[in-house]
Amino acid sequence: MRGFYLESNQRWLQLGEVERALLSSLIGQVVQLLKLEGASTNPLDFLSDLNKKATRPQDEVVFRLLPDAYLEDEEGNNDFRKFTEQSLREEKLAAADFLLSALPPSDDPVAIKESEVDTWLKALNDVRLALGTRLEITEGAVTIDESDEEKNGLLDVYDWLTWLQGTLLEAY
Amino acid sequence: MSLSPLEEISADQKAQTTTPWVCIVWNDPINLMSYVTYVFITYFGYSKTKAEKLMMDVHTKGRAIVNQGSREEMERDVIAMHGYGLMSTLEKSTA
Repeated sequence: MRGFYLESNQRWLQLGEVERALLSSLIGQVVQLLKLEGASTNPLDFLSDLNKKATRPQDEVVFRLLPDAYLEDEEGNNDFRKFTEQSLREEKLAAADFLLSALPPSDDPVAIKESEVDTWLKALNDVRLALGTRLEITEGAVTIDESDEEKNGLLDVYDWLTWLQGTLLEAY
Repeated sequence: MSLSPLEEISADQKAQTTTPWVCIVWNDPINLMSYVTYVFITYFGYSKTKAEKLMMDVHTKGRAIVNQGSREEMERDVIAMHGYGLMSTLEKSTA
């Protein structure tokens, strides 16, 4: 399928059935991760959000999506998290929800509004960051282990996401 | 035209109190170069030339200072960069 493209001064997105299901599942997994680490175990915590100690996310993927703001300043990072992490998390969840609602329902292309491009790029990027972090993508060439079929399958998915985000940046 | 010593001092002091922080974007192996350029154009309103130069600095030198201002302003920029998924931190300017 064509991914994102420009035609007659209009931006379009066309995805095949497998691509739509794949993207929907990947976005769903990012949503789940962001929600899990954000979930409070104490139902009354929302009353004392500002007193709650904000700590570095345990999961490397969540930490990549909600990173530190200071290099060597634990107190600065804790304060930064305390005051900003929840709104960043909500922004990312809202973008992911938007994508889920905006995915084409069929093989037919759907029109993409200019005002939605930023959200598409951000949320697609979060999915790439999540998958790339899990796959421990590094600057150099990826070492392919033929016996690790699951990893190779995910690398194909990662490459596909890179292609899809690229078509939107190219058409920008 | 010359500045009086008094004006020089006050201008210097002003620079120290109003621009002591910088927003840094770090290289990472996942974000696409075209995406990083897009972010610098879209969020900071930089020209394509400036955005591409900063992106290349990030890519080749490992990091680039993308903006400077007060601590609050730089925190806002770092939050925005995190919103875009870029690796970004703020620190006191050493310049």
